[in-house]
Amino acid sequence: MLIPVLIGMSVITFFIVHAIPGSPAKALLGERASPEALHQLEEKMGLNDPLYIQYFNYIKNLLQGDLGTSIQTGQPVSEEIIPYLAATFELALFAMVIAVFFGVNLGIFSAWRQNSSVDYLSMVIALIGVSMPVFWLGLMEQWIFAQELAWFPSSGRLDSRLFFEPVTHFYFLDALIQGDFVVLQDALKHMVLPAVALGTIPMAIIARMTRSSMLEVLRSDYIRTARAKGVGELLIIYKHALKNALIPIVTVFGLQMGLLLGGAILTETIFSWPGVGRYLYDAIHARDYAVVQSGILVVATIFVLINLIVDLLYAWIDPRIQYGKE
Amino acid sequence: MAEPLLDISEFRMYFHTEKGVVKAVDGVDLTVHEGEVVGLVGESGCGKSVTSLSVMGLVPQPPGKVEGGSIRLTGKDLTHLRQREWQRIRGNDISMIFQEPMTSLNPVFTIGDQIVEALQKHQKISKKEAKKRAGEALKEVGISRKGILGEYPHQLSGGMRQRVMIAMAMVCRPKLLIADEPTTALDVTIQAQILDLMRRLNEETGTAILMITHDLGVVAEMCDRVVVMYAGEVVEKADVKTLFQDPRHPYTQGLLKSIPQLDKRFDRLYSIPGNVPDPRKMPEGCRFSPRCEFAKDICMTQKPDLLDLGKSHFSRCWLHDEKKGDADRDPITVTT
Repeated sequence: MLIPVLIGMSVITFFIVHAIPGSPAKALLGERASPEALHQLEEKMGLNDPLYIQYFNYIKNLLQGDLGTSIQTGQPVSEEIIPYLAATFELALFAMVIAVFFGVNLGIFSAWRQNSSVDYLSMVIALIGVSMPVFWLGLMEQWIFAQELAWFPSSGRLDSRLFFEPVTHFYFLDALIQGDFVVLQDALKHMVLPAVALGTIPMAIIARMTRSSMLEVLRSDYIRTARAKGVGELLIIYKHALKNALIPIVTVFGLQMGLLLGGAILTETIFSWPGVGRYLYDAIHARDYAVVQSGILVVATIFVLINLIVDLLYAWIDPRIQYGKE
Repeated sequence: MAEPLLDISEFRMYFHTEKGVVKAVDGVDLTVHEGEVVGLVGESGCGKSVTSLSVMGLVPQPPGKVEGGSIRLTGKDLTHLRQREWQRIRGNDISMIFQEPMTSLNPVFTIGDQIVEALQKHQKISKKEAKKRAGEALKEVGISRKGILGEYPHQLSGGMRQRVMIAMAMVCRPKLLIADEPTTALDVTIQAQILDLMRRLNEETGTAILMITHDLGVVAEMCDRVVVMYAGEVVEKADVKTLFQDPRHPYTQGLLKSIPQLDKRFDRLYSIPGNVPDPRKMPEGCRFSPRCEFAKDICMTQKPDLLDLGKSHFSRCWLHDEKKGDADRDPITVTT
């Protein structure tokens, strides 16, 4: 499944990117460039070749691990994209941790006390969470927690005054490797607001999914059996029921994680987060074909990989699901 | 006689629903002595399952509510226990097996894990020791296949799963095992095996069994005493021989008449006319009266008591009352 999806993805992104009006040469040289200079640059960049030849050149390079060169910076995309990818990945991971922790527990609590006031309150919270636009939530957070209360910084990944040499570009990992706890603390402070903003919608979706999934499981015969054995209520919910309710939750988790990786543009813009969303957004404006094509392909690959992992998780969660055995 | 192991007296469990109060169990008296096998018989919806779940404290409250009476286990009233206390009793003093072996085991945990969990919940033993005991418990129920502890429920047949359920229920050596229609969902040949197994365990371990069933064949095979329930009430109680030879309540007689017999030819099997009453609109007087072929005026207006007919034989019917009932029409003799 992985390979056909990626081939399809490469075709679609390639042609859509080339269908965007405007040319990279124009973007590079500016509106007032002479037609000769434009023509020369286009020739040099291979933009005058037929599209299918451009596509095959692109794929040929891709198979050799060459994601192309950024028109704006002249740097290879495969190198340039890494810090952005790491920033986005780190943010998405934290957002998902928040989303899963609060979402799952809120859902469990609602299901456990179905039709109680706690249930209604949780579901109202979830509804608000789903309906709240990310940009509005982000701005409110900045206003309240950064501006008024000054608990957290309003933007960026790290205080610019801190001297820090990233290795993996995962700041938390880097800070831990280097034993730099000042950086670790500062990175954490910078993480809170964007992670909460980004995690709210997935949190609400996970909460609703968990609730309905748990409600079904809690009514099943084997839960009654567990009660009949004398198992305590907490174990019944978190061990016997949750593992059975997990499959739809994990599915939602995979889809949301994929979405966060590619679609965090709003959050990244509001919080000046140097992530892949903003990287691509800028590249689209500059008609930087190589960056857009390869960037989308990388994000798509990660999306597909995450869903592959989710599929593998199914088999680990539920022994009745097996792959490759007919 | 010594104090009974389980003593349910005047127990009432009502369900408060939006459409009205359902008196699922309405004044049930029932005792089980140590080592005894007691059958609880009745049609679907007569309250036998709710009675058994009440003994385990597994009726969800609300909507259920205990409206009176008591359930005593070796003298201790269970009706107002807290969750903690229930958890100590369930699986340890009283165990239960259910009708649906296919869905009663947790699909995502191994057989071994599920039995070990029951053991470790109630006894302070190491995981290794618990695993050994789990293996022994499975041998006891006739599963000695290697590697069974690591298998998942979906790898077993229905009969095997019910054996696993029994092993799990018996592993802590409970005083009482409640079996809620344990063979209903199984093939006939497997049914016989499971019943044999339960009878054998009862004799070997002395665990008393409360057998919930609608199958009088199961009762005849398994039980020492029988309690017949109808519409939330006990209508007749007797030892098994007496009940089959000399049923006194018209309902019990009807039940017995509706069993097909091999040595007689029937054009049409007998069935009790009418339907079980709507639990929200119970008939006044005797609850069986609308379906009873012997019903008289008094049956429609006044509720009969559970009358002692001697030799621990009880029946709830006006026909046995010589003053109020009509002795001539006492349906003592059954003609089939």
